[in-house]
Amino acid sequence: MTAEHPGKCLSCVEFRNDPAYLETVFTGIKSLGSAYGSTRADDGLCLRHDRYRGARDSCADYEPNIRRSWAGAVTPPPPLGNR
Amino acid sequence: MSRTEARDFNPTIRQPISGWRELGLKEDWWAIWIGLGIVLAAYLLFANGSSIKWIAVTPAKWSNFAQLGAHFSANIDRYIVQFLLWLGIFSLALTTLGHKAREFIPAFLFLYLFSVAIFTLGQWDQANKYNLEPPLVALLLGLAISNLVGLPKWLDAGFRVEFYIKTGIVLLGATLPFTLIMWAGPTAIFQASIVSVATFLVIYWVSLRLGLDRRFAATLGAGGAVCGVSAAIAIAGAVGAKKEDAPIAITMVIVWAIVMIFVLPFAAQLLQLSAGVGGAWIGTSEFADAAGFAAAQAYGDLAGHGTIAGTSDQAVWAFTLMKVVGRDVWIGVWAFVLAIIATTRWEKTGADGKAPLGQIWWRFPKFVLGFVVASLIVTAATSQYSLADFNKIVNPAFVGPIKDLRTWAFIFCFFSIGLTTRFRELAKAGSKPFYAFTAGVAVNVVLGLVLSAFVFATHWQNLVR
Repeated sequence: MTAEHPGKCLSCVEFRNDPAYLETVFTGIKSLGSAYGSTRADDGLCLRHDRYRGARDSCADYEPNIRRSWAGAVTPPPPLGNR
Repeated sequence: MSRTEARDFNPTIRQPISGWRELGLKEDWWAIWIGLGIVLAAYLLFANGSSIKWIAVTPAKWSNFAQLGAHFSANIDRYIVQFLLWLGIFSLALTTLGHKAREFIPAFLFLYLFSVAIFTLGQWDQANKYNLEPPLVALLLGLAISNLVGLPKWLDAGFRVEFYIKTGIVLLGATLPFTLIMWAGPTAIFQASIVSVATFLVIYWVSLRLGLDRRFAATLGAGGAVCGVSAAIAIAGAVGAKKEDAPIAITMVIVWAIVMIFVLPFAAQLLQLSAGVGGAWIGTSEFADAAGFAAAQAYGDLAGHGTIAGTSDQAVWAFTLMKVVGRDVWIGVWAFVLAIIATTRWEKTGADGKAPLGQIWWRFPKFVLGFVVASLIVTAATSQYSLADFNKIVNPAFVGPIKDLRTWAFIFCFFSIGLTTRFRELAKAGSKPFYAFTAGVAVNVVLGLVLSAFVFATHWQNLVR
């Protein structure tokens, strides 16, 4: 994939795959597992559809993440009401 | 966590870390670096006439408090240095992964002190009489603390079950001859595949009969059939399961895995299974690596005390071959196959799901590579020694201390299982997932016993160096 991953879940504003976040959502995962392991690959949660998806998936509701460029500069997210 | 909170929690999005970046950003690779680092250090010292024995200190056998006091007063410096070693390497790894050192350090101090106490209790000469096997004591004590007393959540930073067990498994590779992996591995794969496929199909079929969604059924099935929590979340991602599916599958895995930690060694002892056969059964029928190692180690300890036939090593070796080689390494294949079925045969979810072949590697449990490399290193380094010389020269100075450090890693893991298992916080599963998963458990346990104790019994009871 390219750095920006256009059209893929990984670069969508609704996608969350931070392991620390996933460990708060998947209750119990730390007991006999981990979100930091290889088997999870880059999967994450889609907040729009409430599904756990592969980072390389895509959908018609894709919305590019404008909060951070590849260089890491963070810009404020737009208000939720404007979505 | 609400959707709005979720947005606030993670305002940035990570780039994919599959690929080269994974080498520093996945705990599997850190387990490899730490485990192989220890093995190489041990070998270099051994080759130069020295040993890591000094730092691999463990509590000695004792029968009264005077002996205990004498041991600790004579070796306190070794324990302090060992603690600092573990603290240093784990801190480096976990802070790189994103954890906070200020949370990890006090948590690990707590973990280490209790681990010393648990290890010491297991060395009491009356421990076997009262069934005070360290893995079971660690688990029960941890469960009691987390469920009856409670600890601050931030301490979880030091209770990294998977990280400790993966590190321990890499170290275990150093004590398992590569020739044994090659000899017993194919049988392990064959036996584990039969049980995995049968268990998955039973859970999947019962789930559908009970009206559960196909993706949820697959997530549950993988949790019971392949490698527990890791498999459940891997398959949930591969098939695009609902957000709530994976936590329910995780609950099922945890509940049954913890029940089986106690039931399988007890039942194996009742049936007077040898250490190797018992280890193979546990490897076939436990759901998670960490829980399985607790059960296998506890059963192996019985052999060490002469309660059952065989050796402690045989139980752990058979378990490892069955669970790690026979089941864990296939998770990527399961994910690939189920992703193809999900995208081509099942109802659409509104997203364009993919089934890339590359996920067989992306999802591969990389720590297994460290396990194999550790075995290769030690097997090559010791191949010129006869068995007698191995036991007299190599074991005390080279392999034995690695095994002692592995035992520490396992105790950290077993205690952490208890400390992080808070039953009231687990996702509410409902009766249907419970019935479906339990049907798989029944098939898994019976089939695993038949294959381990009858069909392949001779194979498993003859595991020798």
